Amino acid sequence: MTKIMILPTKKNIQDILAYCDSIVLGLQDMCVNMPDTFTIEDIQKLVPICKKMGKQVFVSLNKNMHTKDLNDLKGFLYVLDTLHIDGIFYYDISIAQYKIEMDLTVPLVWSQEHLTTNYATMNYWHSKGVSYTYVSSEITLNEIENIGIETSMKLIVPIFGYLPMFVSKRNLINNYKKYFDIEDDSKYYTLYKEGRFYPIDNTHLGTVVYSSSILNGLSELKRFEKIDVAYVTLNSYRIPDDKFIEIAKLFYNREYHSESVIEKMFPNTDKGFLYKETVYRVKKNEEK
Amino acid sequence: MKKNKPELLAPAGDLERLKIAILYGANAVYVGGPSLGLRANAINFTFEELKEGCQFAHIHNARVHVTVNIALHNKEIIEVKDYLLKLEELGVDAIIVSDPAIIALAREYTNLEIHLSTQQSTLNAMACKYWKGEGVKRIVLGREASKEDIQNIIDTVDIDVECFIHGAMCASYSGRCVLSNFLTARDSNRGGCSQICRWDFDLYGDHGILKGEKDFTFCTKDLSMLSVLPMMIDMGITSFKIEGRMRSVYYVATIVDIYRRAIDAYFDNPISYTYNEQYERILNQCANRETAVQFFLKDADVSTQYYNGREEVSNQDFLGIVLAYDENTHMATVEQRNYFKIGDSVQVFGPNTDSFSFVIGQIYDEEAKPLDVARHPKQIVSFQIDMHVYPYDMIRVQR
Repeated sequence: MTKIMILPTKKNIQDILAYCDSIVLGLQDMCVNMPDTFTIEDIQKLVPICKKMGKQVFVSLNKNMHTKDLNDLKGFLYVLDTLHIDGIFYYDISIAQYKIEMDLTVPLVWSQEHLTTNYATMNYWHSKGVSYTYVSSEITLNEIENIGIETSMKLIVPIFGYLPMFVSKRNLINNYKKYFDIEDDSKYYTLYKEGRFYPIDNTHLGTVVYSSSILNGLSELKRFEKIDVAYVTLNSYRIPDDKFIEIAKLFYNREYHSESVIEKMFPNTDKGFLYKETVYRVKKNEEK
Repeated sequence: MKKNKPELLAPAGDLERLKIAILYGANAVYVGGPSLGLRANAINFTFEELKEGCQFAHIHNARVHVTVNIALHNKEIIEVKDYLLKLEELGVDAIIVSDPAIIALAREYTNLEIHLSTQQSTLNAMACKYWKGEGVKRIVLGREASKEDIQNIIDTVDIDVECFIHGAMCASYSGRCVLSNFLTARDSNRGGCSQICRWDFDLYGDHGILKGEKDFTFCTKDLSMLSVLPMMIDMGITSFKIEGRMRSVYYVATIVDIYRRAIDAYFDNPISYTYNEQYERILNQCANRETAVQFFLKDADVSTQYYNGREEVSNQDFLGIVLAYDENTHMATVEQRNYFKIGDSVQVFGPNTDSFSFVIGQIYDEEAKPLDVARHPKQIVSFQIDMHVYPYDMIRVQR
């Protein structure tokens, strides 16, 4: 049965555990695109609590790793392996190499977010001992169903929340404020273009930008269950806690027909790319 | 110990640019084939053109690398094997790949040399070790790689390392931007990037809009490593890559020419090498965009951002290309590329020609009728040039 996986914050984690099967915690200094980060000590404390409640714990280390990150990365991998967590989300291929060299037993989740787009590459990583793929949010539902048929890799599919669109090492907000001498200490930033708002964050690791719409795939949950998707993820990034808990309940209780409840909460929900194919080749008459 | 001279690797959007790049001193070119590359908007090569390009390159002791670096979707999987076999049959020297499923197929069915695309944003030795174990011969490092990252990889892993030295930058880590998908439904990891990073946005904070003199943009200055080129040569980097398969023949010729001369000058005589500011001026004028060293020496800070809010005007410096030269009459036959007239101060440069300046005298058309101006693109004209010039030499505005 497809499990509900939550990307929580420090603030909502206690309340949300009742409405999910598993959580993904972003490891501080080692992840991007997560609603919050947790120190290794936080994770060490949370794992037994979650296990006691029967909840699985995954940890995301999905940043691009530079040379200076490798020592810390190795240490974190060792600790996480001994904690017997349920999986590590990785983007940087150094983690695949550490799995070999350190003989890690912790399951890996191939999480190169926009590159996880086909079953052949999933089969490749599966043959290398990787257990899960965090499927790209830029492919269609039909493609995901086809992947489900063609791979024995266990799939994790985003089903609710703002979707990551951009990760940069550059401090784009800070640079802009510095260049134009703008004094500002805002906590939240948003980009605006042609009637749409895009959440943007600038941390010490760089800048991330999210979609303007919130993916709402409640009515698609049944189709994911049919093809044995292992997990669907609900991302709490910039979703008020009270509403997020209500939404998690809807998914957890399989209230497939309550999509309108979510639509009433947020005017900016959509289906992402589940029914929309992106253009690959631009036709000659469309070229500028 | 003296390091090997690095390969100079140039982009080639079509056969003409492939030939120009090689004639101007590139040791290798990278091109897009008819399928599975990351520049869907470029003209790209047909199989026939690829064959001709490989033959031309090999005659000139150069190599051809073909990009096969899209993020695969299910429907393309079936065509990969035959496509790779075809590339091998045509004489392609290496493929540039980001998807390990393609690497596995290339290894199983061909002997093609495999280069890992910058789309993987590889920045550390452990990742390089992994790819080496998978049969990858060369890693095209992420443009965010620092000097420390590059040196550590070279010192730790026995693998060829390719680094960008010039051209446009992604604002994001390569492979981690799908702005184009979301804002224009064009898939950036499959060749459809619509360069949203160059758009202007309004930036809002908690208390409303944050307004500078210009709007917020992701836009960055271009990369230019000319000032740190000796350092990069000393590090033992295998290949220096120029970005820009969509760029013009003039751009390719100019950038290759400058880096060829700079690499040779330093490598052949490092003690007497001095930084050539004229080269820097030519590079800057050619793309008409400001440049920076970006991440090599420090994290890319505000000085690498581009907030000028202007569109780049197309470069009009390229006046013509030499087709023939009569040693007896000193008349050069030239194909016009931009407007010029009698009395213009111009400069000639070329693979076998040290650049020199002169003033254009009487111009003639193909029927030897005198002209005051050459105003038509691709018009064949002739005029006197006292110093010897050669086919493929180029004429540009003297600045």
